[in-house]
Amino acid sequence: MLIDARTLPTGTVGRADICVIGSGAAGITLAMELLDSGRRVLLVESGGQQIDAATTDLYAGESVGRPIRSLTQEIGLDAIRLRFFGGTTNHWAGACRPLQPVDFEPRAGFAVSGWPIDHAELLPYWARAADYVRITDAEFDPLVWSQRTDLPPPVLDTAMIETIIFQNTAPTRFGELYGADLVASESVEVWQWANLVNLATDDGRHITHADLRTLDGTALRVEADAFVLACGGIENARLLLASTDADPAGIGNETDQVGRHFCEHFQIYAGFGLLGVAPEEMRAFDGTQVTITEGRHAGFVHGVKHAWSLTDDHVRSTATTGMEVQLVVGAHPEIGWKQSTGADAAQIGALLDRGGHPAESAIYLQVLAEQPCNPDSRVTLADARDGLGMRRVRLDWQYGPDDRRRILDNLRAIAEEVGATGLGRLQITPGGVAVGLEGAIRGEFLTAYESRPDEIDEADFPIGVGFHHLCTTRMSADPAEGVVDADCRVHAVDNLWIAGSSVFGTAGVATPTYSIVALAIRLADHLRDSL
Amino acid sequence: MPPTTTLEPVEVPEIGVVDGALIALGERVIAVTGEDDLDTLLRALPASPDGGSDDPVTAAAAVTATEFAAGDTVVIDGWVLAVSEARAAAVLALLCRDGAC
Repeated sequence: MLIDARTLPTGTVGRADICVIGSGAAGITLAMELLDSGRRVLLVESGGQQIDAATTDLYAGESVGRPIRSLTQEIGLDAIRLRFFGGTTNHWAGACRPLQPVDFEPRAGFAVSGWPIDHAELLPYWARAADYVRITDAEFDPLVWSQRTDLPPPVLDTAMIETIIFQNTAPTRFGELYGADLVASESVEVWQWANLVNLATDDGRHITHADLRTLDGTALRVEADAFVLACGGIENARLLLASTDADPAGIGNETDQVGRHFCEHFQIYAGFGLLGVAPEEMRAFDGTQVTITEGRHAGFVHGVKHAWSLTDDHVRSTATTGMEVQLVVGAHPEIGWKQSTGADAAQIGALLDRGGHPAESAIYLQVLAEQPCNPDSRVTLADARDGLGMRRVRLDWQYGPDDRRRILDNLRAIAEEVGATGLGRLQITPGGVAVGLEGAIRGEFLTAYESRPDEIDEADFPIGVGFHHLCTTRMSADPAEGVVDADCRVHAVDNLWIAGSSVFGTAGVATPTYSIVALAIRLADHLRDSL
Repeated sequence: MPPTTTLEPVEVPEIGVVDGALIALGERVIAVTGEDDLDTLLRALPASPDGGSDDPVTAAAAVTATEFAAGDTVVIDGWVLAVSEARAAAVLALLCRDGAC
């Protein structure tokens, strides 16, 4: 059943077994998993079916730390997240791969790290999540994909660098895909245009009800046995901080952990390279398309492609952070890149020729790097109020010289490994990459990037974001180091759970949505079994 | 868009014909590292693998994998190069100075 909350009388009380706040990837997956559970589910969404300016404005806030920006422009907190049915899947780029085993392990030298569950715990849930996100299955071995498709085998696999698989599923909008099932269900009510403004509690240990408001002033409440916050990595923390019935610091915040450890994925224009591999053998970095043959999404076509990643063994042995490298490939020397000054591709090509390993492919490197948890990188509340009278969010994203040092060290290590294997040479130019407008022309893609080695700035190279908001209510065994336990339940509250990327214990470097969905399925199983 | 450098092949004394881009690379190596003494560079280079080649780049190619694995590298305008191959390019550039090529 679909209800426009603006049509309900003030004072209306909704009753359910489970109230899920937020209808993005996590909330919709939870509700779908609970369809046949015998539990009544009330799914609360702030917006409607389409984007709406006044609702979107509720996401506006202050960004007082490092700038939240793509590699080309700063982006507001109300633009990086979408507040309507389907949530941020409405502009999700669709890149899927699971977290790595090392992501779950404690890591030396970081303030906090690891999860209270291990990688194997999530394997069955990634298998089930594949259907929700519309990828073929949970297979991410590049050798298997070479057997399944025309993808060439990996050009590089060493103790330091492994070839990884991305399954790309854009566009996969959860609201469009699953909304009809939810609305048709007799066990689910979807309330749109209703905003959570407070998790009501008498003692901070138990949620008695959720206070909701519409933007036109209607006051509603939901009473339920269980409440699940599923509003994204920034908003989950904000809503806990804003729920102050029992504690002015917010609910679940006894150890001052709510909102801390905000992580993003660092995105860097990293550089270029020349490889002695024919472009035909490199086409897996461009990817191929496969058609899903079974299940509700049979016939859907999605992408599969290669990238490089630091191996878990390397991350462990060097106490570093994860890094993924996407390769854009052109033929050398027909397609190169512009360079302002200094040793260029022709000179390095001549060196490789003379040394007996001629270059055949030119590559551009785009990097995603892991951020370790940092307690000073955090979500708090601003003094300014939104249209509901709630304090707006204040995001203070922090990273420092150590983070840049790890990125540079890892890039240098990758370049040395590429040289050691005889594959080619890399040019690492953080801060020294300019992007041209002709990048849309696929056949001349590399010419869109200009190498400016005279502008390399190791101390202050541009860092963009992956638009992934992680770890603000991190999962921990010890309440002093996080907000939720291994079941995603808020440590101090007996009937409040959290879904989404805010529960990640360590950010890892894998794109998070696939794991968000897997965790939501796991949480649905837990709620079904425990309530 | 072709790569930026377009130089004619040059005849390097005692070496033979070399791509002019290599000479340009060698000059960049010298500019970045400050290593501009020919004798010192020649002593630092590995011996030719077959004992007969006078081409320093060919000789350096035999040790580049080992040098990369050991982290024995130098960065020239962002390019991460094995130290011997960079020195070999510098040798070619020094051999071409003073109008020798």
